[in-house]
Amino acid sequence: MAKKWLVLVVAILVLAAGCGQNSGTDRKQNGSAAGGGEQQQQNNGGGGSAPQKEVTIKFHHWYDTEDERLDKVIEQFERQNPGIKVESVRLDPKGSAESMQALDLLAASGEPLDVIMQPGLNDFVKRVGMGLFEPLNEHLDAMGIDMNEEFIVDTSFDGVYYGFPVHYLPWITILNKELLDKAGLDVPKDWTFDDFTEYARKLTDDTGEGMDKQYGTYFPREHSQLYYMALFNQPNINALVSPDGRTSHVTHPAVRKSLEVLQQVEMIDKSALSFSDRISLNLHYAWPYFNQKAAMNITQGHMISRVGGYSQYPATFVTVFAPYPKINKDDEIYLPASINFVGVAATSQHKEESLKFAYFLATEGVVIQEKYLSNWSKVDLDDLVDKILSNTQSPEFVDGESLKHVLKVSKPTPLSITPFFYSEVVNAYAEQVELFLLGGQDIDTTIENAEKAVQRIIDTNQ
Amino acid sequence: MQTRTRFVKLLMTIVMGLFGIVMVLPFLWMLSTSFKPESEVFTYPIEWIPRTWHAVENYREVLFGKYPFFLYYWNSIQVTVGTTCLSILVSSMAAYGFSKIPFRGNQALFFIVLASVMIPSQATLVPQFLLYRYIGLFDTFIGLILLNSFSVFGTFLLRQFFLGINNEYLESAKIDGAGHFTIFVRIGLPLLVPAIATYGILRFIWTWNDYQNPLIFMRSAHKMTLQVGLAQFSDLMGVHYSLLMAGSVVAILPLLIIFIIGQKQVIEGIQAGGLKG
Amino acid sequence: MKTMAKPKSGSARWKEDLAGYLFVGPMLLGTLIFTVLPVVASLLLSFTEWNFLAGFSRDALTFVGWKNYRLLFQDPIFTKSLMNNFLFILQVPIGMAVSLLIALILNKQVYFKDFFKIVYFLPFISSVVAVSVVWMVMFQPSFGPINQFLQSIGISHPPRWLGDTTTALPSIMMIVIWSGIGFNLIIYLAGIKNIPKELYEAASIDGAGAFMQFRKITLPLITPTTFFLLITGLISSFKVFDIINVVTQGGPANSTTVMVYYLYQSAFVNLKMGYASTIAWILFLIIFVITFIQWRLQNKWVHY
Repeated sequence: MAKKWLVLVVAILVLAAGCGQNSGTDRKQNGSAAGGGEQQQQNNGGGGSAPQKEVTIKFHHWYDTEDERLDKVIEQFERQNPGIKVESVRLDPKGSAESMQALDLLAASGEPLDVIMQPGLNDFVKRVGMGLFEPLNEHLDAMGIDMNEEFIVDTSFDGVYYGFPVHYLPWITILNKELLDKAGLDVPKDWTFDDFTEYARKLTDDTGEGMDKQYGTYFPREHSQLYYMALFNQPNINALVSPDGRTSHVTHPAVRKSLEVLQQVEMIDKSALSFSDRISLNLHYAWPYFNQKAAMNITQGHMISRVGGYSQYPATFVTVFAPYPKINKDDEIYLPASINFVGVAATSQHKEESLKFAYFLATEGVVIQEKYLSNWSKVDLDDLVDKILSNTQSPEFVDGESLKHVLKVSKPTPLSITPFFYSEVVNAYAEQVELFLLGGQDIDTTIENAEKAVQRIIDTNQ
Repeated sequence: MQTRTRFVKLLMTIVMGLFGIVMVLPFLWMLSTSFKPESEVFTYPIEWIPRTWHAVENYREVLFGKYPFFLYYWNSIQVTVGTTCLSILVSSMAAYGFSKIPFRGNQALFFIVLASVMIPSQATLVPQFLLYRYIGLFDTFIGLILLNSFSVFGTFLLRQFFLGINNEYLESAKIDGAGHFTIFVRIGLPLLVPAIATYGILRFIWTWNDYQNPLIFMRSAHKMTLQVGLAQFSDLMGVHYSLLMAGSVVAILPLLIIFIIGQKQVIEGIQAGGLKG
Repeated sequence: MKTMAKPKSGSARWKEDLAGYLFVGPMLLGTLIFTVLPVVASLLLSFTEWNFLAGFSRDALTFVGWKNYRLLFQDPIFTKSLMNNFLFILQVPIGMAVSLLIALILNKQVYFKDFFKIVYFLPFISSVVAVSVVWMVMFQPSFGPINQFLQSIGISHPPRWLGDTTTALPSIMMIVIWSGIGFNLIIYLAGIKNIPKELYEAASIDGAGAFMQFRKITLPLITPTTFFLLITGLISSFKVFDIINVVTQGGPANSTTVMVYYLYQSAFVNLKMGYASTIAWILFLIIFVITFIQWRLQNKWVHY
């Protein structure tokens, strides 16, 4: 009997504590939703006519602001723009994908949003299509910003701009200089996929067994672009589906070439850890490289500021950079890149201020961050490279000159707008490629089945 | 005869012990990883004894570093205790009602309640989220507690145990003039203590380990629960396993304690008897 | 059904009903608000295409009738996920049997009983990350301990476990069975504890051996517990998600894509909330039918 009453009393106490906690906080701290509203009321007398009133805008992203030096960016912006305060909101610490889910939920429930970051073109396009972002053309004209002049990539959809490209994350090849020297190979300045395959073979040390073996390269599952690597950097067609979502490019010869490379490297030469082995290892894509189990990687731009070592992986050897391989010897060198975007929410109550901050992020902000390359035309790229590399743990282990060389000789692959349903397409294609990598089907069957699957998805999404 | 039983017992102890080692492996991995520097976490084969002892740094960073670990701990305690108590209350009452009171619609209602969990939470997440925002329960501890307190699981489990109680015992109490409430409190609950303790332990563990709900239904940084707080030990290059595991080891302690106490004190202490047959 | 005898007279009847509703009231209310409403919403959503970033506004929702359902039945990924789920249910009876065995052993046949209970319960409370990492290492096809062992005893080509489309799902099933042991165990132990000692004593006196006692006393008297574990096990089995998300992400080649995983992808990666709701409702129907059948059958084998 006493036990039952005890349970009841405890329950009531805890509930009361819960209630008390909530209302207490509200009184003390203007929970984030309330905060914006209050400021809004004060600001009601039209955009900028009351310059002394403070506006708080929210900045939704997935970064650790300290690690990424975003706190410095925000500081500088607030200093240059007294009257605008930026409230940084980290959506989900686990990563950009989870953060997008959290963002979608917030948007659905009408949370006030101002400045929003997107982890890549695919995500950006999806949400532009769903009306999350404000079309910016008028605002840009009013602010005197010429997008063509300011940024090296064209990010318009049918002539309309919805956001700024922030970090420029090119896909480059990173190579372990020590292992290169050991194998007697030069740093590649301009090479084809066939060269790449040969390098992979020469860089593989067969003396080891299992996890002691040192491979030439590594194709992580997270980087599904590598499944169509030879198509990915092409100037005209570089995605599996056309921008209007009507045509499948699975039968493009570059796709076949990609599969041939995979086959040669992983299955025939065994210069990369096989898919079947990889899938049962919970390894981050950086692990094999830093632990000298893979001598080189075609990898995405985040690694540029990391190869010098960081908390999880200290650098123990020199890294050099090589361009993205090309198909034929006389092709031009094209450099594909992932770009993340920042835009202004269509429902934002402070569009002017948000636009200012978004623009700042994409221009001066990237330079202040000194973590990533920039899309801004007014940036001295060599200088930025030096700054980025000097911020790594062990700059002496990174060959900055080779990176500058890569950036100089490569042409950026033009951004290819992918249709809304592109993730479904990639999944369907990846399913066939994985069957292929497991030895279950040959290249022709893979392409045939993939074409059928992708076409089906295109048809259902018309 | 006695020696044979003792021999069997010994043999079984050894066998279960061997299998038990496999059971303990993930926990050992958690401990071992929490003592290592991050670069040594993933070695093949697994190095159980850390090559470099990094424990002090790891635990210091987790407990006293960037994030208010103890605040998260306290938040988790509040939410978990609240949910456990409330759900025990609600479920035991409902279980009694569904099993012992022959009210009209008894079976059908129970089945409807059961049917409500047949939809995966991922599908109801968005409508639920919108509902919470609308009625103002978003970003509140109460909201989080209420979310998990109406569990069909508890009602179902306790109902099964209530059904096992012989009716004559209760009928005689009724004849003596006891109403349902009295029967419930004086007879039903005491008999169900092992089941309630079991459910309480499970509910505690589930709520304590819940990541998805606090993440989605809470916004303020100072209201984060442990699991969400721990997930912050990751950056663009992935999870910082050594720190995450250090935090998880400390987080697991209350669960172990609850389980040990619950098992020993409550379940062992009761000799169910005299009610069946 | 062992509810108490129904009172005959009208007002007494009403009093019983009232008491009943009062007891189940809080539960019903809570379930109604926090679960049933969202569930009904998701049913309605399955008949729409919902641009959910715009909330519930008029232009965000487009009514499309049965379109989602039609598309779903032609969707090869959905069909695959359906089959995967049906294969997956096998882990429920296997897991229950293993756990019951362990429960019986731990109940009477070992020393350090309490210690063992904690040990066997540990996987259940360990972090999903830890469980996944350890098992992924164990199952590693080329240099993991399981295959190393199998090779050492002469099996030259052991199964590739998570790295093969035919064995990936069974591997996940093994992980799930293994981590569920603790849970099933304590519920079974609670159920066994409820059986009066006198029954066993009387049986011993009558000369019944251990196995006989198990068959005639233990097994029948824990059927309420078994029924409970079976129903909840099946429901949870159809809703499996976390372990797939952490370990295989549906791969290789969609061989471990289960319905909830595909639902999650549709909703939060492909941003097709209406389509995802359709999957949820097909899932619901399947679970409902199976549970309903079980429910009806319970009189045949469950002893209260």
